[in-house]
Amino acid sequence: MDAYIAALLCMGAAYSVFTIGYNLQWGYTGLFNLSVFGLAAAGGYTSVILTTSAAGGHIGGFGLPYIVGILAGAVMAGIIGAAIGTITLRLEFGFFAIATLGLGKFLIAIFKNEKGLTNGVWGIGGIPKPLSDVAGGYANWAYGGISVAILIVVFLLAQKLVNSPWGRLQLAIKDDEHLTQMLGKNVWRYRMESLVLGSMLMGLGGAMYAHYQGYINPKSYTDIMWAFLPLLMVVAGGSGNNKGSILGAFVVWGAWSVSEIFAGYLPIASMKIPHIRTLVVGLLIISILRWRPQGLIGRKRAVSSSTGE
Amino acid sequence: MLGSILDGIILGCMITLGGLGISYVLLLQNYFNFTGGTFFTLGAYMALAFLGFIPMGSFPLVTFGPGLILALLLSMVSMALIMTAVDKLLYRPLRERGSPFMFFYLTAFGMLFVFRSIIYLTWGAQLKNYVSGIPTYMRFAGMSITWDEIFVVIATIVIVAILYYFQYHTKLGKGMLATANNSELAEMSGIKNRDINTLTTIIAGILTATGGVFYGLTIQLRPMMGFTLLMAMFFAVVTGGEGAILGTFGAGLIIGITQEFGSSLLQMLWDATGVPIQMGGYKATLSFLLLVVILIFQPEGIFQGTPLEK
Amino acid sequence: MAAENSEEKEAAETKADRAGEPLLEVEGVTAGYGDIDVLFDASLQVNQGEFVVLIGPNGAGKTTLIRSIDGVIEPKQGKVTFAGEDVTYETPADMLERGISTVPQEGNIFTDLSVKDNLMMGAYTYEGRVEKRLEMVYNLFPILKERSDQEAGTMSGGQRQMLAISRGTMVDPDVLILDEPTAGLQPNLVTDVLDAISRLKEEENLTILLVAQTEQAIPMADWGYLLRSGEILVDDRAGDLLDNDLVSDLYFGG
Repeated sequence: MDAYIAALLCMGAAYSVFTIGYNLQWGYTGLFNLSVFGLAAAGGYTSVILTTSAAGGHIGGFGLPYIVGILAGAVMAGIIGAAIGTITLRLEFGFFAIATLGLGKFLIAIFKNEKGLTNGVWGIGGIPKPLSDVAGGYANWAYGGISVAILIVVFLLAQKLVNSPWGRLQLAIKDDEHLTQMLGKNVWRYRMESLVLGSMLMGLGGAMYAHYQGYINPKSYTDIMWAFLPLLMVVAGGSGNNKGSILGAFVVWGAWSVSEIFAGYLPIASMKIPHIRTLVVGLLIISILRWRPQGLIGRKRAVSSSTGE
Repeated sequence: MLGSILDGIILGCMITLGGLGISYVLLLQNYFNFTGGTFFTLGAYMALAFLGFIPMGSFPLVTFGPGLILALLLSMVSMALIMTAVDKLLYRPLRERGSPFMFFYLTAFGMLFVFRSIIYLTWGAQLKNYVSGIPTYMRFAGMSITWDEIFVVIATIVIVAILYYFQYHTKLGKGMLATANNSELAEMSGIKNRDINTLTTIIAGILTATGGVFYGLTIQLRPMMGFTLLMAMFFAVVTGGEGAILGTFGAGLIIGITQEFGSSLLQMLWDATGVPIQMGGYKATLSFLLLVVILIFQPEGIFQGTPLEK
Repeated sequence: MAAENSEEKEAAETKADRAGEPLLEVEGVTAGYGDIDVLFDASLQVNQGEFVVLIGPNGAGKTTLIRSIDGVIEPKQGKVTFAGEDVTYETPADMLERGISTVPQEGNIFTDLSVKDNLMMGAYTYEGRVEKRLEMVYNLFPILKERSDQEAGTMSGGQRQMLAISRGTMVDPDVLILDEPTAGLQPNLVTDVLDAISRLKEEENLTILLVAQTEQAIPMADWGYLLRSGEILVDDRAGDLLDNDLVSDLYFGG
């Protein structure tokens, strides 16, 4: 039970950071960015490469500390996010979604193929968990504490951000693009900023996850785990809301991991269980969208008075 | 090499059918139906399920019999029903509420996983086929082809022709075009949007099911089959021009050939320039990249102003 | 006191003189978009066989009123009645079934379709011989016959209006509602279009509600209403409209 709570803290915090980033792009700016799993992977791999030793023909051995690793991961994800944005941002909503989906898959393909960089499908292990040598049996608790600390910092920064004029502008852009273009603001620039900041947070989350797991490979960052499940987290928590993202992340991850435990007790073939869980997640997302689009604690959608159509 | 082109044409036919399903929804309901890939897969598996009750029989030359045709028809009906039900239950309330596009995409995304899970749970992950046994290959000019594949190509051409005729030469088809152009004016002209929406999902269901069954016939049934083709279908839709039937067919063939053939071509290019990139792993992502390229440079498709713009 | 009474008496007499049976009645409609109301307690009436004109400045709410009548938007308050039946919440397609065809101000043609297809779409629910309707329309606007294969979106402003009006009449309606068919047209085209509408009314035995800003429309009409800032301010015989101060302010400055 203890072990479970420690794990929940680590994973919940990592996902919360990720989801805050995701929500920044989606709930505040209205971008449906499907490359996010690739960004998490980018953050994870960057941090891992910088903090692990070289082995099996891939680069490494920089021996940098955890903090540097995860920050580098965030920066790298931000850079990639900027690159993706330069290519795709002026596309229309639907086109943006599928273009980013394609780019996300492309990113994962790079991680899978460039063995010299990432050790390909064999992944990288021996990822250091900070304080693990000091904390011994309580390593996960220690890391849980660190993760939550990071989360708190991120949350405070994010709250400042969304409550600032910048944040309010993002909401205005999302709700009514015509209005804001009339006001003469450079919409593209604001979207890009949101994209980059969000990407950095997602990379950070991906990196925090990697250091908890101890081992990652390209399959650690599937679209299901890092685009689809977070979608449920954002939608369930209530979009356009940082607290909602954190709540959603912990609740959904908690339910996801608990279901894994319970599923073990049910007389269902183990092969089927992952699919049942995916099914339930899908149904939940759809139900929430259909019947309670504001999520658990989201804000009611403001109706723009200029949209008479 | 020519053999790859031929394989590409065959694959292109199936991509076209799936793509047309997505194109109809895009044109009339304004969102990319991500679930289209999963419905493609489901169509194939539904035919398999029906074959459990229908004797296959046999036809000359091809590996299948009248049973498959009947199963295909039943699958068309099933998929039309399923897609229409999903639309009425989930999407129509969103349309009537004036919900932002985002919700449509999220729902489609959610449905994608719901149905994918259902497919895995019902049929499992192993590969399946409609008929056991190996088809006879005919060889000529260094290429090989089966009668099944010839059937698929001919059938696709016929379907595209029928669809084209329907769309541009019948009152109902033109009514759909009018609704896509200006849905308010269409409603004012007595063309009811609800009815057109139902027709859209029925047509999309039929096309998607057919594409899936053809894939299952000439290649194999795999739970992920539709999803892996999804990017290629999107390519066909965007490059062919939104709602353009012939254009989508043309673009479908292009992407089919590119998938079969392109990665080896690109490999030759990379090798020639001395850049040490192995294309093998990137075969699947090729469609994605091409799609991104088209979206950036030519989102209205490449056939504008040509006979294929329809 | 006495003066007011006689004005009211005169107004009542004028209304009593109004020819025809009430066909389309709009009673106390308040409508708008989101939280913003644009139309306040507006009432008007169109009698059988009449030509009614609705005038008013930009932004008065004329289009909102038309949309409320036709069912494109739902009124927040008030009632719309046709031939005695409540049609307040019916859709445009329902209204068409009842014989009311609306030609909106914007988005009034299918830009991607040919001229001929536009007309065919207009006749989508028509149960008679479409060729006869086509003939009627081509007689009225010969240019449409010349350009019948042309893509509607490529036509000039005046031609588009002619097409828009024609699309609305293909179904052989009883009532035709036209929202500013002459907006943005050159003066000579305005006259042409208005003449055509006049002929149409005679030949097709139509009841017409015309929304217009141009004063040229007034002499054509039997009855008129002035809408300003969402309120009906004048309700009078068309011939007397121009005598009204509010109306002449609109056209001749004030």
